Amino acid sequence: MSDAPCPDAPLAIIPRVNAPLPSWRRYALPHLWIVLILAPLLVAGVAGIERWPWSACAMFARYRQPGELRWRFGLLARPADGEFAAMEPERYGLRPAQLWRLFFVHVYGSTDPHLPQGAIPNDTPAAFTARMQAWFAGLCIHLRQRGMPGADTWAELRLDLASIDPAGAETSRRIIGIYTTASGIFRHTSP
Amino acid sequence: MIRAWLRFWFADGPIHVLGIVRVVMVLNALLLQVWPAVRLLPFFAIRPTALSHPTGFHALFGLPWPPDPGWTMVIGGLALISGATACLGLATRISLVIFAGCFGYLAGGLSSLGVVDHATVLTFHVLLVLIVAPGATAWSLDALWAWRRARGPLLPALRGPAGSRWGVQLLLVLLSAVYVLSGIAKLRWGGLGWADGNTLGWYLSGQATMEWVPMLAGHGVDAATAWRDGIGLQDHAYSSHASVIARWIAAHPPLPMLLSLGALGFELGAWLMLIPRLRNWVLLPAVIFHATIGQLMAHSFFDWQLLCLLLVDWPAAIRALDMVLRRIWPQSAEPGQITVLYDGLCGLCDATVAWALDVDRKGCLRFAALQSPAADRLLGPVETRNLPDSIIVVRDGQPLVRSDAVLAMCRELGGLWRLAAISRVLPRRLRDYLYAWVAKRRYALFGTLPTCRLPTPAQRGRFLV
Repeated sequence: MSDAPCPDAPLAIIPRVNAPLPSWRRYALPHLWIVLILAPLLVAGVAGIERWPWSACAMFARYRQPGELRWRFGLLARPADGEFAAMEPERYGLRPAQLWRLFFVHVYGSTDPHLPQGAIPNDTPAAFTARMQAWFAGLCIHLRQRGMPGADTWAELRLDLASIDPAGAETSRRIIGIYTTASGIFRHTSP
Repeated sequence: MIRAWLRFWFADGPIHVLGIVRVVMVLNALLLQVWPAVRLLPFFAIRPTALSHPTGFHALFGLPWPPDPGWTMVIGGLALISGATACLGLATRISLVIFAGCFGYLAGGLSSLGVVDHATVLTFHVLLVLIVAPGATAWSLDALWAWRRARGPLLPALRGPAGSRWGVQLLLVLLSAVYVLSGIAKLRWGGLGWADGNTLGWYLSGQATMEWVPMLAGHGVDAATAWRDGIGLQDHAYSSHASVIARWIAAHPPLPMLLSLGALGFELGAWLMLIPRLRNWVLLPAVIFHATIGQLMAHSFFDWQLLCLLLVDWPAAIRALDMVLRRIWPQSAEPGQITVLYDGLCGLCDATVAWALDVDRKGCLRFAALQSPAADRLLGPVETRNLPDSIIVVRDGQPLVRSDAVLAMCRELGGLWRLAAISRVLPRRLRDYLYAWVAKRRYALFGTLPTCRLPTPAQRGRFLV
């Protein structure tokens, strides 16, 4: 069945065939919007940057080998008159993925100078220590606010790194550094 | 070249799908992302800044995160109200601007806590497209308001006119771009070896648990580079919850490799969705792709699935399914055995006839307007006046009316349309009530014909006059 315009039909409903291209103004705003949206996304993709709302979509991209060791950060706290004991900040409003990914990417720092989530190029031990001090201070404030038992009595906090085999067993442990709550000083003890 | 470019972006077509995208994506963002964020805002507001890192959105506009505790009610209220009005389409463009801003602030704020949420990345870009793209105001209270002033048929007014389709094309380009970027990232950080199945097998075997975040060392990192720990941590794993099926797959080495090849091939070939006839062949598998990942690794990317489903060319998908089902349920009536009498003035009836002509490849149906002498000849003038005045199907001299008429027509059309028979599980009184409800309002809802429809020479034999 074909559409045939009635003799008295308004012109607007008659399809235009081979009509000349409308003026550039019709295209200017859409083009501007297309570029504004696509250009940063493509730049992030090409440059390998992951910073919301732009993403290189690098999740699950890094090559992994079967049987390789995994490493796990751990936090321990020591009261003034006691020994170090493991603490679980994840129980106090800090999701493990958020806490440790942010810590690793923006505080600890990767050895990959092109880490999409945020590389720290030309990092130095001094800058590393300064970041650790700021992070530990923030963590202490947060955990005290959330009422973590014993948080007011901590004298030192320790950051450990444990190696975990594919079966989930801890195979070794090393101390990365110790943060003193009173002075706000972080001592980097590793390697 | 320029013409091809302009045709790709700016050819006219139905664009009301952007109105549906607006309703669904804003509702999804409101319920699944904004509302939970608003509920948690008071907790975020007291969080030390050392436990977050500003996102690109916050850095670009110089926005503070965490927000000042005094502003949480304002931000939360603005986000919820603008989301509701953007979804309903009240002051649509302004609502979308405000909601996109609030969404950027809240969803970006959540991502600033350490985990970039890729689902919200896509949703944010969709909101940006909708702010300007023509068609985004379809199916809105704004359109309803305009209809109340101008009158005319309701549904065409809500649907809006056809127009430049650049908004739809931009969504397709966005979607294909993020898939292709994902594929490129795998080659960039994993190399061609990513396809050997080791990486996917590692994740499917449950090595990247959600209970703690595994850190991973780089290969061949020298001591000078590994000054922090002597190991040289390079990256964190992406948390996932490996299901029982995932672990089974991981234990059978050829399967992770096949899945890796499939995933990589799909992502790198996602740009094919920009070719109209291949669009559904990418978008529908994309939904299956995400559903599979959701089952295996608990990352369903629900927002992406939604957008894929919304951008599917559904008329083409239905035609393709109909072609398949025709082999099972072919048309059984003889050509010309069934006569469909329809209201020649009604837009809905006319569209139904156009659709039936398209679907009825065997020519089983003949058509006549109820206002034509043919209808009087077939039923008698008194009978014609006494029967419902929308669609009547005459089979073996017996008139079928209301929902029975529609179901009889669908049955004779065969293929997919035979599935309409499922509605016979409903009592006839209920079916007829629904039919009558639409039929009574058909002029108001669908309008009358704006143009004269003339059968083509090939179709003339199928119309009784």
